[in-house]
Amino acid sequence: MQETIKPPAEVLYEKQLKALREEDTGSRPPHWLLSPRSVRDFIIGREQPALLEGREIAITRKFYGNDVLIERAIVTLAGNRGLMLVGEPGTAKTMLSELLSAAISGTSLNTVQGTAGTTEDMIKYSWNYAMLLDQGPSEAALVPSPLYHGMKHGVLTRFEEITRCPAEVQDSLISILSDKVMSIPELEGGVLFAKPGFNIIATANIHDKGVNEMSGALKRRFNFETIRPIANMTMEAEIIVSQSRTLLEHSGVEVEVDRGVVELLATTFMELRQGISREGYKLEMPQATLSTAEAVSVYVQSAMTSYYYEGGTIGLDRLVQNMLGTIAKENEKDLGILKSYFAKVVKARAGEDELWKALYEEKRWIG
Amino acid sequence: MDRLGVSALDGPSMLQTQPSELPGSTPGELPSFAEAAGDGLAERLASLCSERVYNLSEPVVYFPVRHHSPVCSHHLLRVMRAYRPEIVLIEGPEGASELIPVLADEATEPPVSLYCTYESDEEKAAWYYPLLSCSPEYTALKEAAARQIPCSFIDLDYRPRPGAMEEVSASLQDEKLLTSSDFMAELCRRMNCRSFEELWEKVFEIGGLSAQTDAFVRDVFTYCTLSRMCYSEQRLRREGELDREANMRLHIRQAREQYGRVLVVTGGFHTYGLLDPEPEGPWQAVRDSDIADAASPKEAPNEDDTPAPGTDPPMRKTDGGEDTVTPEAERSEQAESGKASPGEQTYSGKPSTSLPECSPGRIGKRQHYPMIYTFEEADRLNGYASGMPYVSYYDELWAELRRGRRSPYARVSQRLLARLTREMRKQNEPVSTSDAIEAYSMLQGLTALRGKREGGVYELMDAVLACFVKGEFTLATDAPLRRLRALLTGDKIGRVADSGWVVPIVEDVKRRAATARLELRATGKRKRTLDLYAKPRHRAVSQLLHCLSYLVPDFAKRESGPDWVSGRHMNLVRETWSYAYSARVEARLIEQSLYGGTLHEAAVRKLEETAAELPDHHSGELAELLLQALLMGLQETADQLYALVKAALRKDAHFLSLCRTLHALDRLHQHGRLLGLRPDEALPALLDEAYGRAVDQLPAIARAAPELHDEMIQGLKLLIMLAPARPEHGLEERFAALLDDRELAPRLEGVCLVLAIKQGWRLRRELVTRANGYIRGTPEQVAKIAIYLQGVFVAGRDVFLYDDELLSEVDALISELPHDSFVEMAADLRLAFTFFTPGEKALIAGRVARRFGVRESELDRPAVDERLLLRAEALDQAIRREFAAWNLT
Repeated sequence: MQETIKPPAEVLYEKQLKALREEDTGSRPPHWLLSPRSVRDFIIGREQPALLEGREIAITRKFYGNDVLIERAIVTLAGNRGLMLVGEPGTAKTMLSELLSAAISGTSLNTVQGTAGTTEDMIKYSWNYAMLLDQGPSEAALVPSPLYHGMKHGVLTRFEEITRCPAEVQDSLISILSDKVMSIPELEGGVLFAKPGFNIIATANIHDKGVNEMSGALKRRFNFETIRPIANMTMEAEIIVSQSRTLLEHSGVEVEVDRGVVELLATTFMELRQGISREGYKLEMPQATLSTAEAVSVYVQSAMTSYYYEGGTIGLDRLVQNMLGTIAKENEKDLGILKSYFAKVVKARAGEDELWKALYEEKRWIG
Repeated sequence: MDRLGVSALDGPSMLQTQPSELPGSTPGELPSFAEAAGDGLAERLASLCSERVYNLSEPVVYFPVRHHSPVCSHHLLRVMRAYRPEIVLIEGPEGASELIPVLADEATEPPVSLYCTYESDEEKAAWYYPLLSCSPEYTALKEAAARQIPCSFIDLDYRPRPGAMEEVSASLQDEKLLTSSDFMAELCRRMNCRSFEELWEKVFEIGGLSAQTDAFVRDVFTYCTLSRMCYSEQRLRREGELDREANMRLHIRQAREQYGRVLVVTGGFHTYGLLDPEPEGPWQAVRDSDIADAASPKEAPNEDDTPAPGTDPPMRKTDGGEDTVTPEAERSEQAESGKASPGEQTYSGKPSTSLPECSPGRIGKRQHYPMIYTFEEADRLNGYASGMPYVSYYDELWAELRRGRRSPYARVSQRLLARLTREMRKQNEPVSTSDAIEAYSMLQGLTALRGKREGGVYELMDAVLACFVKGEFTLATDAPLRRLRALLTGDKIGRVADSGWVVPIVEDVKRRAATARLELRATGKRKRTLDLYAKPRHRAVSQLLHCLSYLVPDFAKRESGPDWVSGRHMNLVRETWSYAYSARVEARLIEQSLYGGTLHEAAVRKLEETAAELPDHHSGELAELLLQALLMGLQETADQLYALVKAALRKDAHFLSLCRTLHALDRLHQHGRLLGLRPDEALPALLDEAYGRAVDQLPAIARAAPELHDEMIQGLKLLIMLAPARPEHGLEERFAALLDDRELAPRLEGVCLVLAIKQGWRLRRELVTRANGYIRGTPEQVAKIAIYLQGVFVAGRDVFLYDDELLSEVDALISELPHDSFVEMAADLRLAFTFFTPGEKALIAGRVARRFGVRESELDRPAVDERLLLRAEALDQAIRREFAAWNLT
């Protein structure tokens, strides 16, 4: 059992990062811990293991999908503009941003969490008011934000969910991104110049409800990379298996991940997301987000429920119950869509496949 | 380190990779792949190359190329300087060797192409053989011309296409075997390349630029040969590759007898198959199964590898050097050795007549023409698989290479980024120079990350995607990339030097187009608006466009303007045309050349042929042809057609055809001067004759099929319109007879009657009388009332709109109908009212409303829902019952 629920990427992949750092002889941008090529290898994995203290450390693939996108993202971070990762919820934008920061700056914790309540203070800096009143404005009284920290030490700053912040707060990034300088008028000569190695990785959901539009000026200071949901069932199943295994292990649930059930789940999610069944029939698409991350959560929830209440491996009744909670959470219509999916697609497959038949038998849970 | 990105420094094991140069791959990966296919295969291929393929001391040097590859051209020039060949043999259609001087002419500007046609009783096919400035084939023939040495094409003119009867056009440089092999797919995966194209660019176009020529040739040869080995001999034979190679070998052998140094320029995929005698060794037997089953290297099979029964046995020499040949192979072998023809010819650079047909029965007419080509069509990505994609990009690169510039890729990319920024700005897209700067630095960053010497087209596209696209990448934001793709492909059209070989009609069209200021030198759709009647110059352009689109329907399209043939939009005075020139259009023109040497000749011949094919009593179609001829400005042909129309009129006994003739002639008579036609004295008489003939045929329409009624109604209206000037033809009597005909279809009856009433030949009351006849008739007759009304409305909408008497009669008629009959004919009645426009319907509704004392505004109220009515009725009855129960009244 480990100490933290979700250790940061730099802890989780400590050995791989260390091994890569040791073997890396390529040229690095200032203050980068790895060369761009090693950063790429770290994220998309490679066949040849790295050596650490005489032991072979496998460099595993951590991000599935568009490898060329990773290359562009790395080069963007070494350049003048910020990196903006956009895409539907659950497409591993945050994970990618963590991996990039962990590989490049050695930490993925230098993060601003964007919310509707984020203010400019939280982005730039605020004050320790007791000290401020006592001593007047001084550097010691200044409470640095992650962005301030990033500029000062030349490390990457992650900005999560930037479009959740009000537009005027977002815009405080404009001058920082273009001039790489933050002025602190309260201090005498208060100017913070960004050290080389500083850059921003922002993530944004574009389809979510309640997001703010980004100004053109801010858009111009970012290079955009669009991350798409995985379109390959086998690959998605692979991710669900590996992530579920990790999550279940961390929760102390000692059950094997059932590959058949995972494939069933991945197929269902992918078909509903893409609006087409593998036989080529058109399907209605639910409004709810059906990302790989959601599928992992459905699997883990179901496995845990079965483990604790039935004391066994994952049951399809639990799977259907959790599926219902995920797919039909936005509105009533989505429930209808799930029902007709069972009535058409699942029923048709029930005749040919035992597992699908078992799934169809649990349709009572969705009414 | 001056070597290809993928090849190692130490000699023949070229497939060993440098980890620092090859991101994502590890040393030893590729060799194990190659070794699995055969022990030491890569080494042996390399030594085969240095001994027999690229050995400048040999009498034959083979230079393997990829079509449209600028770096292959670059090295080819070096080879020609070093080897000083006495003859150059090029993979190209052998029948077209005579055209090489035209292609090499100073005035010829690529992209150009050879157009090869093949025609036999069973089959008709055509191929293009495109050449760009950067094509190695073009470089070879230009350089040969500069050195004044002979140059010849050595490939077959023909490609087998099993089971194809229809006419298709394809490229003679099909590369699908090269690009889609398993070997290439595996290589792409291991080298982090998204496609074969990227792999090729990385290794050969970028890496190859700084390589020594012998190493470059060796690498191209090895890659292409390994790729070739993924296919079984049966497959190659089926695709016709072996026949082609046999033919090329024969040419090479003949050339070798006559010349001391022969340079052979062919696609790299074929080089191995051209070696003569065929190389011996275990690699021969590498098949798809061996590659797929790479884990267990098989021992080299040769004699043991007997083909499965029923398959074509391969033509292969055994170790003993004896031929094991089958009858099928024997014929080819004899052909190759040249012994088959006793009267052996000396090699003249011209196609040898002693060449056997590669398969029996393929004797047909073959022709070759030089013609223009376009970048758009040369780009592989546009679907005409042949050579490298992004032709404009590589063409510019070749221009840089020829100038001997350093960092040619960087220069081309910079220029394209600047051009893209400018074009995007012109379209009011928010693009700044800073985007271009960022993109350029992104390009350099990616180049370094991917371990390339210079950033190529893929880095350029990635850079534009990252730095120009703002927001999520969707259809709405992909304009920068789309624009870039268009720039990479280019819109250039080539030029063919004037010579006896250029097809006269093509020359004529170009000359005329230049006078008419039509753009035939760049691809893309263009628009031209013509003031058809006011400006004679514009009319001439219109005639040219009519003529061209008559011969080549794909070239131009009239988007709007008066349509003289169908008689629509005659109120318009301007014509708008869109047109686009392409190699396909030129090819169609060449095909039309059998009709004549100039555009007019061809059009006249085609018109005459069409006219001759028409049955001699179809005067309508002839008259339309006549109109077409006049629109094309072919007055003389039109005069002949007048005579034909006149003759046909006498034989024509079909009312509709006669009406079409009448329409066409009337249009000419009325508006001919608008087209600048001289007044024809014969025309009024001809028109009169057509009118008379049509009137004579009137009785026949009574029993015409319902689907012809619409057209007949138009004819009847035309006759009525022309009647006042021609009382002598007795239209009134004919109408009277028709109306008395009991068999007359109700729809036509309605039309005829209304037309007669309008002319004052009949009284209005008859409309109602006849309608009453239907309503009071048998049930079948009642059903016809709606159809009768359709006829009335279609011919006399004005009568109905403004005549209260008729309206009240119709109202009375409809209200008299029994309910069931009304429901039955509701659909037909509704159809009858569709002849009115919405405005007219509102007008009628208003008048009906007034008749019943209802205000017009009431009509706009939505109808009460039927269920609501039923509920109200039920409620009403319930209340009544309640009231009755309580004795309330």
